Amino acid sequence: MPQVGQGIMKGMGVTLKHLFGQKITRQYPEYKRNLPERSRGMLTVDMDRCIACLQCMRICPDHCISIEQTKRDADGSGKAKPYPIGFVIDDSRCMYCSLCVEVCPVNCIYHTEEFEAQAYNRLELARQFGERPVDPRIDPKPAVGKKKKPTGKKAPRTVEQPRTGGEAA
Amino acid sequence: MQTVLNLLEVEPIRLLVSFGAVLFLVLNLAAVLTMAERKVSGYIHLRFGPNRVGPRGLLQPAADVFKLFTKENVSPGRSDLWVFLGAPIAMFIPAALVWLVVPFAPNAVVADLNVAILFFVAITSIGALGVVMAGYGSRSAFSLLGALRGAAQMISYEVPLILSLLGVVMLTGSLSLADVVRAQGDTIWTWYFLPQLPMFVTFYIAGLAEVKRVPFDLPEGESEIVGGYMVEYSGMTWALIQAAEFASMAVMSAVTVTLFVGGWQPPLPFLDLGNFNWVWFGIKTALIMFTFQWIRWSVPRLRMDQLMDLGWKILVPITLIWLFVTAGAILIF
Repeated sequence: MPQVGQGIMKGMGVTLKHLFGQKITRQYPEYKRNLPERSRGMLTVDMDRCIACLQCMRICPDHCISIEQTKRDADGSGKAKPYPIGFVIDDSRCMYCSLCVEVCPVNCIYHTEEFEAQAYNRLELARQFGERPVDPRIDPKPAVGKKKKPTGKKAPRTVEQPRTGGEAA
Repeated sequence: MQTVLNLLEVEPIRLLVSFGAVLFLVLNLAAVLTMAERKVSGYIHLRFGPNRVGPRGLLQPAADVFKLFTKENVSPGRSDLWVFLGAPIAMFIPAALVWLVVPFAPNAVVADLNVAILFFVAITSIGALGVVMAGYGSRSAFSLLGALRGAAQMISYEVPLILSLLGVVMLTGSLSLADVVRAQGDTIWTWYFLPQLPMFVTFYIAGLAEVKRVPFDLPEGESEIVGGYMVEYSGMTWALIQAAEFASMAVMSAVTVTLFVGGWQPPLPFLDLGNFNWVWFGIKTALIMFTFQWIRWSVPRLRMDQLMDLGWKILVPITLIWLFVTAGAILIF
């Protein structure tokens, strides 16, 4: 009998203390804590360094990177080299696995600290980097294992086009 | 201006206007109490609670009500539609009606019945009807379980609730709530919660069970029967059930204050505010309501057998014994 209600009283004392205690919520949009050093945010590409080797596009498990490749003498060496004229990263598919970052030979694709990807339309999440926008809906890497039907002609490869500028997003 | 004020003295107009005011109060209380509930729960959890809509989140109830108005009102396929839709009304009307007899201040009571306590007891028992209607009309197993639990609980706890009233009735010699308040006097130590302490505690616990608050929220029991009798409700019917719950919670704390904590009476004579004594009534009622919410976020739910044990084996004997003690004391002194 002497112990009746002691537990309840103790518990209610704790809750009363918490009622007036310091709140520990962090008000997110106003207060942003520093991200850890190796946090994986949204991807970005340094287009000046990209050599259009397409390795990131091939390794991406979600098929979220599409690169439109062309040949261009970009560095003034007199030799036409592969050049990424269109580069799109579809954030609606990206799962931040960081495989593309690991595979890139020139370290031109990397994670930023941005992580707030939101849009009213799925296609708005596709970020364009090249001079010419690439349609993100086209699967850059058709599913493996299926036998390809011989089409007779090669896949259309874009030819060098005069620089227009401003067309890039 | 004077003529309008005189018009308010005419009997049917006075009743209608004051009842309208009380109804307005009840409907707003539900919204305000929802807000208070969320704030108190947040603060107890070391959170902030809703703080985005308006200054410090104070417009949150308006946003909630707006959202509920725009929601679709869905009823289960084979539900008993009339019973289903009537249940929220059957729950809300008793909760609102009891406010008719609660005295807010001297001479500020909608209907000063001489059987106000009887009226209160009679009307609060109707609340169980709404719960049973909701559970039966929904044609859902969870709803029916919740309704059965609700019926059992509310009917069992009526007994200690009524028995704990009787001590006050014996001391006052009147069933009118205004008389009860007047008899308690304007000092804190003459209020009935001191001589009637076991009755006060019993009334408080039974009232808590009567309005189905934690730790007696078995009819809802959201962790076992997902929401009990209100599983199938949505939109404004759900809002009406919530409003009824909060209104009955408010009315229970108001009646507790009136019966045991001195109603509108100031705690010390020099604090008498005259016609503004409803401030004291409001403060006390708000304090009791806060303890309801405080208990809700501190105490775990009882099991069904523990609930029945508490009601029948502890509360009823306590009230009977103290009734006997009170009767003896009245006889001797």
